[in-house]
Amino acid sequence: MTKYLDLSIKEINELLKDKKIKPIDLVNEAFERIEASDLNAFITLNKEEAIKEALELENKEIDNILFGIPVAIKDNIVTKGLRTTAASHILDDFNPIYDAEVIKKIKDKHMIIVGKTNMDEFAMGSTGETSYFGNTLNPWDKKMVPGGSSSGSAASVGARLVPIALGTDTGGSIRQPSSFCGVVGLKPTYGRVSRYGLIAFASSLDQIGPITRNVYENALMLNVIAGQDDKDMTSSYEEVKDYTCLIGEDVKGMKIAIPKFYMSETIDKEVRDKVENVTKILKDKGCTVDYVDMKYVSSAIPLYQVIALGEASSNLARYDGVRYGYVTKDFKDINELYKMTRYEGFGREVKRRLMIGSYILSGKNADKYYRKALIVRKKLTDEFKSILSKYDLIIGPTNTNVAYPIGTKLDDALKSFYDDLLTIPVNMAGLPAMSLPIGFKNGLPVGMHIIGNYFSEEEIYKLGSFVEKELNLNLDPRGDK
Amino acid sequence: MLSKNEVDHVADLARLHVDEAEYELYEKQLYDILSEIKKIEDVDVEGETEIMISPSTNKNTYSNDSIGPMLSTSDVLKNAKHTNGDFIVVPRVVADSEEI
Repeated sequence: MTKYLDLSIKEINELLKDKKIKPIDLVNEAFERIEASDLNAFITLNKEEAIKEALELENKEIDNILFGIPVAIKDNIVTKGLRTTAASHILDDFNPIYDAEVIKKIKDKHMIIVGKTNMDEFAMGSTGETSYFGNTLNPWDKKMVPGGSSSGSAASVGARLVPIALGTDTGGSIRQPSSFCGVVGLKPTYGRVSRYGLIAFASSLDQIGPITRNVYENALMLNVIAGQDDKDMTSSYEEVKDYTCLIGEDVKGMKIAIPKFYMSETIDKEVRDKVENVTKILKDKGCTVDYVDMKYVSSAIPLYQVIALGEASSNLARYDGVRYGYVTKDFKDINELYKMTRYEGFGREVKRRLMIGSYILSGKNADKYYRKALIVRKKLTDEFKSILSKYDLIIGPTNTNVAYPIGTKLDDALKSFYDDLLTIPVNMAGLPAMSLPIGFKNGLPVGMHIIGNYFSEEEIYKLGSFVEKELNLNLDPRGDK
Repeated sequence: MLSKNEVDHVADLARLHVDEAEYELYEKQLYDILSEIKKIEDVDVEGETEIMISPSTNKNTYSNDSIGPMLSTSDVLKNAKHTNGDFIVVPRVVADSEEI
């Protein structure tokens, strides 16, 4: 078996430019790996089209570093003519008639889409287990969950099936699985990447971002997908930077804050120790690292439940069995068509969340819960802004612990929310944040959170690449290959 | 625990049928989540009244009122299960006059 996909993107690009390999070699290798894998990381493969595209690229000039690179796409990002299910029965035969903005950008760079990755249904879950297509397995230990909701994207990069994948993050759905699978995942600033063509879960929180094997390649991918888009009214006019620009720069003098809440007793001791270890390295290098108080982060779970589920109940009202998707067989009137289609089409986690969301927004509850939550959201955001006016970055663990056995939290309606305890606050404020592997506990990866100021992703990459280099971990779960 | 009627109410709001066997589970699970949500009432916001709906700071912009490329009818109907010519077929939504 060839091993081009074990090389860095830079090395692959050199080989392509020197005509030592062709894009088809990369595509063939990716499919060899995917087809030999038992992780259930993909819902739909794009083999025929990918091979066709790779062959067509042979006549094209190599105009950028990601030319010909295989990429996997989370299955809640629509791809024209390629089935897009959001891992739900209600969309299991849905064939989009347009490409998401990020897909257009990927195609413009001549990257090759190899398939659509498994995920929690409609991105609702933190383990990958709510997928209609079965759960994805963790490449480090197949008895463990890979995290979620971008389970297949993180697992496929972790297992080295593909070098790059796109995920989406509403409450931690890029960072949490990245942490569990030992890969680098970034949730960009809200508005940095167009959400046009992303199947909406909670529109004020959702953001698309890259999942990669290392920090540099993550920045390369953000360079591709960032940018204003008239089709997404929340997409930002803020200038797009070269996000690799600070990689390798000296971190001396950087001011870093650690919220005490992120290092409290709720967080596993070994996970905290790993973060402490990084803190020591940073101090030795001349960074300032201070512990800071944050009052509102502890309200993250109820805050998320009100805002995310409220928005979801509105967004998912569109699945009515009329224009697309699954339709129930027997119905006598329109109301029964809706109710039975949704009952049969949605999984239990989704139904639970839609009921709660509809309830929260109904009648007087809208004021009691939703309005109050929006005020708390403002306070939490102000708190982040105040810290980031004094510090360059905020760090802490991504998760309360490492990956746990499949089945542990599946039927617990509350516990799955608690997985996102440390990641949710970032979505509320709309800040950018990365999960970076910083070590192992019992052979399972531990992730560190690096939270930056609005539209300052390059600062996150600067610190991330420094820590990555210092730790120099072996992040390949295949051992000696 | 929520009552069966309360589960019916929230399911109706979300346009979801509930199977008889599911009531017991939902009565507990929805209660658990709602109990967690109620904690938001107790958060001290120190007199703050301003709300934050979205992190976006974009000003309202208007698109030009001009005709651009549109989707074809066949594309739009491609994923619909019940169609007739250029139309999507749905069950009748208005009653006969004598039924009113």
